[in-house]
Amino acid sequence: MTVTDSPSRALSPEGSRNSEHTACGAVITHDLMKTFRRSSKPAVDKLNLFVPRGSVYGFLGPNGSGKTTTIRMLLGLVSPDSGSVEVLGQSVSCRTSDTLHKVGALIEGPAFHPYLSGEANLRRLDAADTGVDPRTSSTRIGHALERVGLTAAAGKTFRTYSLGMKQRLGIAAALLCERELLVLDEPTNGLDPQGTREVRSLILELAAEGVTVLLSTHLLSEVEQVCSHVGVLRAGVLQAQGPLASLRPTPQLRIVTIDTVSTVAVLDRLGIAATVNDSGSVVAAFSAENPQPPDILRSLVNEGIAVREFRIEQPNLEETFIELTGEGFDVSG
Amino acid sequence: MDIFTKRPKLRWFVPVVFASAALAIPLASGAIFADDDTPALPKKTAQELLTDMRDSEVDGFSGTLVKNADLGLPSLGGDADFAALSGGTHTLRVWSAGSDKTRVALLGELGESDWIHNGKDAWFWSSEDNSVIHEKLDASEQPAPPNASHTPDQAADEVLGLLGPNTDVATDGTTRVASRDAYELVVKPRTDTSLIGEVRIAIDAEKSVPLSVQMFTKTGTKPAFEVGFTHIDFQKPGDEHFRFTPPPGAKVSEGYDNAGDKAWEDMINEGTFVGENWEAVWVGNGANLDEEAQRMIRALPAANGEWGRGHILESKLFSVLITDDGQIYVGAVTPERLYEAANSK
Amino acid sequence: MSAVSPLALRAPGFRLLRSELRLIVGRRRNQLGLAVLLILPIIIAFTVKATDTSEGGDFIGSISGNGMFVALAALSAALPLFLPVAVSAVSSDAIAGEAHQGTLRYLLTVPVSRARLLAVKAIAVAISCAGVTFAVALVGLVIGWILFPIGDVTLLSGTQISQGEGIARLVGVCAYMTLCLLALAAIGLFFSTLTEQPLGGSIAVIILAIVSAILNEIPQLDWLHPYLFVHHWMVFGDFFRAPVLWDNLREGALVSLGYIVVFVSAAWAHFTTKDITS
Ligand SMILES: Nc1ncnc2c1ncn2[C@@H]1O[C@H](COP(=O)(O)OP(=O)(O)O)[C@@H](O)[C@H]1O
Ligand SMILES: [Mg+2]
Repeated sequence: MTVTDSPSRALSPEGSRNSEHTACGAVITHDLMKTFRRSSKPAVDKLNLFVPRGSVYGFLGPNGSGKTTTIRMLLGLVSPDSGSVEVLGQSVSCRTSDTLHKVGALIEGPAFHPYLSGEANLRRLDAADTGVDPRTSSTRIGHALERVGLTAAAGKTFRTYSLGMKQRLGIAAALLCERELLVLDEPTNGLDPQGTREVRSLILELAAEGVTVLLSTHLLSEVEQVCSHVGVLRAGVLQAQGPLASLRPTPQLRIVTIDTVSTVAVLDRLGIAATVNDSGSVVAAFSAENPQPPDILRSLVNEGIAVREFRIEQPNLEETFIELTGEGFDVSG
Repeated sequence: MDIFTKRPKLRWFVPVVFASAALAIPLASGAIFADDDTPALPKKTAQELLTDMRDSEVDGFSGTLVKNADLGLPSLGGDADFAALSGGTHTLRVWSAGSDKTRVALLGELGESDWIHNGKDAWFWSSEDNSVIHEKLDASEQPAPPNASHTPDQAADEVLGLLGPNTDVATDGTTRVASRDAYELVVKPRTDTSLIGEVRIAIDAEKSVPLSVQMFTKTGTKPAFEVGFTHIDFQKPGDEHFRFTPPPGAKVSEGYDNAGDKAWEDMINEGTFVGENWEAVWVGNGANLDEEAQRMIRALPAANGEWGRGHILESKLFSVLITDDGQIYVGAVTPERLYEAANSK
Repeated sequence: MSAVSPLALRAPGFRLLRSELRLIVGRRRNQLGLAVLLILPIIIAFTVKATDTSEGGDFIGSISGNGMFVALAALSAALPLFLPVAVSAVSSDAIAGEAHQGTLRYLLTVPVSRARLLAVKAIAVAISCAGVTFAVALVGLVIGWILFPIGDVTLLSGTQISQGEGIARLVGVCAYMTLCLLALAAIGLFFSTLTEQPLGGSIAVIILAIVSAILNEIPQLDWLHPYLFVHHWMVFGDFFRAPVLWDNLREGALVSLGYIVVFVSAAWAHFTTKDITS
């Protein structure tokens, strides 16, 4: 039972879109909409994403909630029906290739030519890039492979790679040259625990170098471990967004007693708005500004109220996530 | 940014515009009347045109011409063989530099038959058979190519030979043939028994030579037979076009020795004509026809009348009657006219 | 970011084009197809040698006189089916193949502009078309010269030209055939932007070629024939007349160019605006 001292501010999609942030957003979208043809429901619905520069932004949502679609729109693969996208300060419609050049991406799993070696695949991607110096190609490829630990398997054909190796090669491709933003769509999919840990530490390493990371995932634990910010998506709608700490819900004060009416009155006097819930317990949101628990307890006892149970509950993120995403981990859409 | 960035779907206009532009470009592709233009030319009467045509003189020309025959007969044989000229569409190249220098090439797909007349030599080359037939000619001899009426010139001559009292000749405006301005002359038989409705002859406005000849039946709107240039150049072609040496490896034979052809020739030469001009019927003796021909005749519809019994072949432009006693009647006339001719025999 | 190096600016497209060509050449399937095509002139040459034929259309009859005709016989044998199949496979693989593998999204986020990717793909396909046609001719020439005499070339018109001029005309035939095949390739490229199934696109192209070949045989549709690309394929023989008959070749080239312009621009219109969801 811990009581955090973070400000308990109401989370809303608009919550953190202060104007001061606009200047330092790596990714900003305004009312982004996308409905696929032959589909009645929008895949992405009025999305206002804000990824601060330098953050590791956890883009959290169950399968089918629209994460990949959003990422495709950020990268110009899919054109939005309406709304705007700004990546590294430039809108998609009029950006030059320079902008995307600063963005490394892993989209919906790795994909490479099966009969080429890992290295040859990276060379092909590098050859497609007009913004790099071909003379440094080998060095950069070697470096990227080394970073993901694929140096030994560089010469093997992609077809023979395990799922984890494929995922690593995908990340290596995203690291082929210096990036300001990394967009990683479920990068730990299919990795063993060891690989997952390595990827996560790699993300933290890159973040420490100042790279902004947009990490799409359906795993809450991943967000908890590596992210500084989080946005929660549900059926295309952004449910909440902000620094990770702000997503942690307000602790709850819960008192079990027969004398509910007096208890509510005492709490009211102490400045705590309490209610009686269905099971007959007195519940109230509890924050740091409220009197300390021993003081509350003392007041109740002084009033002669028989307190059967007194606890301050800290609901975990998972519950919040389930609450925000509704169906929890069910596939939506 | 440009309109294509603001409204990306407008990009579809580009292929659509290209496609409409591409379709708007007329493709000649063997069409004699490639553009249906009617150029403004000084007026000329039919008589003037006929006179001009008779007096016209060109030292030589070269060109490509197309022959379309839609006689309502089954097509026989390959397309690079002169024998196949009786039906279908054929493309020929001709070079002419005076009366003793002519070359006619019948073009087939990956094949060609050439007939070359150069002074005292006539050559016939078939790429399909890899064979050459050579004929030595007397100085005065005018050889005919393996099949008659090859050029519009020759076809027009034949038609104009039919002009007589029962013929209407008129001009009908102007046209364009082989990218050249031309007058159109319309020749119309005034008889019920002829199958020919009218013949249209396009005459080059400058050189007064026939550029195309089209024969229409009484009912059809498309010509049953037409021959015309798709391209013509009135410059005298150089000698290299008439030079021919049998290529190594080719079978070379001296003179025609085809007995079958000879028999045909003899038969045609021995025939006589009944009637005049448009109603003329050629009568010959077909008793000596070979078994193959006899079998074909027996497959034709039977006919009988006062003249006896026989078989009748009807096509859009001509009819053939073969009586059981071996007489052959041919004419660009109705079968009734053939029966009449057979009766009067 | 580091400044764009002058070297990269000088040759922006060539690295990708080279990579693209290496990919096409490296494909096992393409190697197999090429092998089949290159065996064709060898089979023709040995068959003629063994049976000692000096008759037969489509240039086969001329082989025993001059080995160069192996190349022409092989080209005319490959033109109706083998070459179109090869071209349809390579062209419809261009975009659809990458989409099918998922590599398209990574190429585009490198970033490569869609128009540039399409252009590079189109050029690579064009080079493949030319390459395959010239390769068949070259193998035909070599095997023809090994097995048969060399010398003056007898044209369809019965006249002879020098060996050198014969080869020049053979190059003309290859160039013309390449252009004809490019019309098909342009259609394949367009289909390739429509689907994520390269095989589907390829089959569609072949069906289209077959249908137009059938339509080309129906005399009632003669007004349509000049607009069908297959209608102009066999006129390549006009290179071997004396003199060369340019009319049909020019028209065939024009029609092919029309197809190329229309379908490449349609591919551009679609590919640069479509959603990449592969
Ligand atoms: N190409 C497509 N056509 C139609 N619907 C699609 C397409 N791609 C995705 N969708 C739909 O859009 C929604 C969001 O999908 P996606 O962005 O892939 O979700 P996530 O990446 O969060 O799992 C889903 O309902 C999915 O079915
Ligand atoms: Mg996804």
